[in-house]
Amino acid sequence: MAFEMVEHTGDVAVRLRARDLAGLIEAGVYALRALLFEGVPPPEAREQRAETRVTGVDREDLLVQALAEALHLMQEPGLYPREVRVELEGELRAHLGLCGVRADGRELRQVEEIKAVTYHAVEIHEKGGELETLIVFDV
Amino acid sequence: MKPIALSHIRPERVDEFRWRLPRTGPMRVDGLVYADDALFAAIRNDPALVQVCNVATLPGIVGPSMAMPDIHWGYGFPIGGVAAFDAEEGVVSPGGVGFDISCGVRLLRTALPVEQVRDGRHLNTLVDMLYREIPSGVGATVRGRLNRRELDKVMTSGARWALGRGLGRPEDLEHLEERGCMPGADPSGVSERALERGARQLGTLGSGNHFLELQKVERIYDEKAAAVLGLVAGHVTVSIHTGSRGFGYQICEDHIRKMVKAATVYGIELPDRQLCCAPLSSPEGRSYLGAMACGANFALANRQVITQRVRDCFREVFGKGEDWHRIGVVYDVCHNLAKLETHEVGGVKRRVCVHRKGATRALAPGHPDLPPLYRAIGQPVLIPGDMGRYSYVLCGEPGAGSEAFSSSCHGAGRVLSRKKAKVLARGRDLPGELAARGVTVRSRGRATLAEEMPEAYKDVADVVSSVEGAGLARRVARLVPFAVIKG
Repeated sequence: MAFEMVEHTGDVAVRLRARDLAGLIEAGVYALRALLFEGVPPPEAREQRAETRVTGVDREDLLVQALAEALHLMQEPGLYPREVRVELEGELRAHLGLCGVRADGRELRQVEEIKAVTYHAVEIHEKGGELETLIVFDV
Repeated sequence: MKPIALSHIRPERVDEFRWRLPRTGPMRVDGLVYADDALFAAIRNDPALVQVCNVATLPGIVGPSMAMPDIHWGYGFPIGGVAAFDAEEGVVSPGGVGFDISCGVRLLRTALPVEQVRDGRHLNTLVDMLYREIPSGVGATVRGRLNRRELDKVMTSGARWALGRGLGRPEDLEHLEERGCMPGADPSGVSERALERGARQLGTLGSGNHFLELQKVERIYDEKAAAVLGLVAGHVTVSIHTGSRGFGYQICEDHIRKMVKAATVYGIELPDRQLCCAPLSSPEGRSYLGAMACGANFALANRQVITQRVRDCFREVFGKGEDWHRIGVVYDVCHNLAKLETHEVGGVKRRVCVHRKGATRALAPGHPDLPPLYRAIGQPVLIPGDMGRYSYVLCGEPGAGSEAFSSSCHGAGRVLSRKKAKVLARGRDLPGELAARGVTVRSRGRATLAEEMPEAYKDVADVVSSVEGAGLARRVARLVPFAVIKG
């Protein structure tokens, strides 16, 4: 499970790679985390949890919707996920759980505002035995 | 439907400022890019051209799929994209508006020669106060929260809501697009999540490329138009660039989810799912337009609240009232919107929905939708450049109406990705570099400053030159920044 920032003029593009669809969603959440936050979680911070369920019309739609919901859980509350759990029911439903800490603005800071997760260029395909896709975030 | 391959695009130079992308494959119409030779060469192999061609596949498109000279790679529509769709047979696409519904620019004039503001003592105090009083940066919010009743009024009244609360003057409305209120707003298509996000964001700049800038009118190109607009060489102006904040982003996201399903229901094949759309006449299409208008009104109210904060800060710092600074609105124009308009196409008047994504409306002289004072000169078109160089005020010309559905560019257009800009900025003292150019900057984040550095953008003078050369708009004045507030 991996993510890699790639060149995009207007916004931020990321390439996600993972063994399966759940792994792609997880990679996407970690990519969002890398963009949103800077610093390290303060050791004494209280752990918080957030979860959501999403459905999609196909796996690309599920990926985008899951990441959009993850963004909503992370961005405005400032939740930095230390652990991400993705459970799929087929390829059209996902249960996403985040466990992490709130950014305190000192040791852990929110440094980016992501407007949205877009569908642009999302096409999940197999490469080298893994699933891969590009995804663009509007900043 | 697969996107058009870049290798299948065979551009043809039409003239010094126009390039045609001939119909190929599933394209219903040609593409048309406004750019001189140098600007076009820079984007010849850019995915933005594929995006122009993808838009040309959408049903009911009228005229070419266009892009302005500040074209660059976006998502779905290119940034700088303009496309019109027949009001009966065509579609509406939230991706053709963008997540920041009605992001736009407001220009304020003042009666103040720059020397009165730019002296060291007053300037730093003024900039610090603006930075404090107008929340900017990641997650910017205000202290109070709008309740549902107030939000309903904002959604349906736009900038007029702000005037009702003493935040502005009646004459401000005369110089706003749609006189400060976009018609057709329907809150029934706005989700609770959007309302929740908007409740504490009215009066905030946000982050990214949003800004508040103090400028000097450095050069006048059109004396008559400048006099009508109240622009005086050497005087201070203020530009505000922001939009509908999280409220608008959520509206777009909510309706894109519905449109993804709707496109399938209506049998619309898409080369890029971000172009998801529905017929204008469908329930989904009407719901989106109604909600989009709510977003537009939030943005208009947002810029009106900020305008009043600017007036308050000037009064506080200089100890003198409005008779002294006479801060007035030159114009307020947005660059992310879909509007139902009447245009002449092939000699026949047609009702079309013009999508402008990173493009600005530019009405020609004589247009009835212009404020009476501006009817002789054309609509002001506000084109911000980067924070180190300059911005422009243009006025719409007849060429924009006849071919480009009364549209023009919206800014400089990026040339560097944010990733590259941050690499280029490493080890550099950007605030120091800008100060050496005479620009005082306040920014919440070093990362944002790096992403927005002047080298990340085209020279807006080149973009404006192409717009003027193509007959879409003409230069009226050039403004240079001396203070910038960024999120």
